[in-house]
Amino acid sequence: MTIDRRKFLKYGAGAGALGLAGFAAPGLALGQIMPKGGPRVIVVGGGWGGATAAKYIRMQAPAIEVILIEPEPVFRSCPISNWVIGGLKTMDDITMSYDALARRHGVKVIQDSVIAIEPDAKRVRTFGGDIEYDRLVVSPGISFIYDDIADLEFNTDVFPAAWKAGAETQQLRDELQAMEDGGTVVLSIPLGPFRCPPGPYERTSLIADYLRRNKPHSKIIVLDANQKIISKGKMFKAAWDAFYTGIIDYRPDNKVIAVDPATRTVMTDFDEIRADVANVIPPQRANNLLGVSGLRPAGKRWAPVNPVTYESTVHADIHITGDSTDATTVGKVPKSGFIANSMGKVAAGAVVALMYGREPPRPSMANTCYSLVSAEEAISVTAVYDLDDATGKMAAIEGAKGLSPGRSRLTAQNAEDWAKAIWSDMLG
Amino acid sequence: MTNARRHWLAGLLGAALICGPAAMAASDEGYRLSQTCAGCHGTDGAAPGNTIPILGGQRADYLTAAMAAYRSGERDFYVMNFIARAFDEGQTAAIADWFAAKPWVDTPTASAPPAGDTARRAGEACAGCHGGGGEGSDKGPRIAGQPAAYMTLAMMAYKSGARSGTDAMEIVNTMDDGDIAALAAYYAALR
Repeated sequence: MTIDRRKFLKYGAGAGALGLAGFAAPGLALGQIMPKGGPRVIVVGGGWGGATAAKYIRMQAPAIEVILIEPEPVFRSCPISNWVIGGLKTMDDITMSYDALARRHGVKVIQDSVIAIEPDAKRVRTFGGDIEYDRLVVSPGISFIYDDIADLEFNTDVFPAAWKAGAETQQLRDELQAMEDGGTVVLSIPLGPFRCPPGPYERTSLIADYLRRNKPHSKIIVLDANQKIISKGKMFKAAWDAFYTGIIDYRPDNKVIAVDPATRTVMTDFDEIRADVANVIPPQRANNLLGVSGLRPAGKRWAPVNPVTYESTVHADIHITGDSTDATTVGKVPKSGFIANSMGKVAAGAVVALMYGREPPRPSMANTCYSLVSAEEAISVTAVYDLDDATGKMAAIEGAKGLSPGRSRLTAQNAEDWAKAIWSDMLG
Repeated sequence: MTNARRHWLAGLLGAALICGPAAMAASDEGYRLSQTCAGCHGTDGAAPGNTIPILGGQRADYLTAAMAAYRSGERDFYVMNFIARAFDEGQTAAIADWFAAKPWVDTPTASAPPAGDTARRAGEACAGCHGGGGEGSDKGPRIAGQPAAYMTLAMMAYKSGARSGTDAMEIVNTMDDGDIAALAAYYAALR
């Protein structure tokens, strides 16, 4: 294949249904593959929600065939990817195989991209051909919105987001290492909601820590479109005051409106800042695949779902998990990997129950987000969620939600062990 | 009944796709609630990390007591103090029974057991409650194959008072940091 699949998807999906109709022709020519011989679930996207759903469906119901379609050959973890940028881990440490899903759980893992979902025909179209399903789980993650930042879309090589773990993660690390002492790093944060609310602030901390130890005359300017740090704010601020005075220049209510790749300049309403390393995290919405199929309604950023089953409220028999879901329909849960893992399990339980004609279980979800504030110490926030019968949505259980008492080395150890556990829970 | 639950009921009007062998009862209360534990403790409680304990195959009476202690604050640990308060006694018991019925998977973090007289010391200090092979008894949990860092932290917590409510663990007051580390490494490697 000569066309880069990611670009193909990006521009094809971005162009909307008209563009796709033409591009879908190769799939049409190939026709149906993997003819259905029994009950089948297709899972689109092998991230935190999708891989978990695939494994948990197979664990509960070996009679259901599960096909996982994922464009990447390996799993790369967004959580812990800031540790790579800070130089504490390598890409190898956060890269994992899908082999165990196939070997231990009988998930059929296909490396391909979904170019269309056809709810009425109950099939997905991939580059390799069309595949039919009884139920579909879609967990495709986010797409970026480039509309509000002039000149960013085709210059992400100069202004990497590194908000999907992969080549940009390593690029940002390499650029930090190559930067001379005295340089300026610019990191920009979009208005919420976005994937991983504490993520930009953890990244700021780890970049600042790297600069403090290795390039002490350098600084990091943080342009935050939000009014304040939107997650664990007091603890991040306390760590920044303790460790990074003169290194972190935090500017709330500073929205990036344009970039200039020729001079690596980032523009806000107030300033033009020339950067040596520029990490621009764009605003986000549900993956464009969901927009094309109507699962994200026109004019909406996220995909509405039923919070008991994660079934789309737009199309029947299609469940959506992870960052793409609309929190106004789920309840107040963050767009975190842990929550996507929880959603994957709730969706798996619902899919199995519905296929067996049983009542879906009542959802139970949890979240613990750990963030490093330096190479040694971390902070965290924990919550357990139950269905609020009054609203019909998920809500944190009273008394079962709160912050770590402060920053500590133990919390940093717990963060690493949490990652090992949840990676094994998804992929092992 | 909530709107959300009406939605799936409407979906049930269609016939079940599968009428063959039953799937695992996902509605089992212990399984339903224990799934969120796996985010830190691993699938079926097989925790791979060094500071997070293994729950799968642990004694149910111990797991229930531990959760009660986290709920009351007799055990001080910032994550579990919140999580334990999410579940009432009946739910906690269901979770404990679920994990107790799972196979024990030894920690992958263990190194070679320490030499010297640690085995003798373990026999004197620990075996009375935790069993001769660290397999646990009605007086204490399984500790054989549990991660060393977790057991070290637990013993240090008993020593500092961050864990209380168990008189038998006052024995850690007779131990220094080296004794505690050696015993933790010994039991982590015990199979």
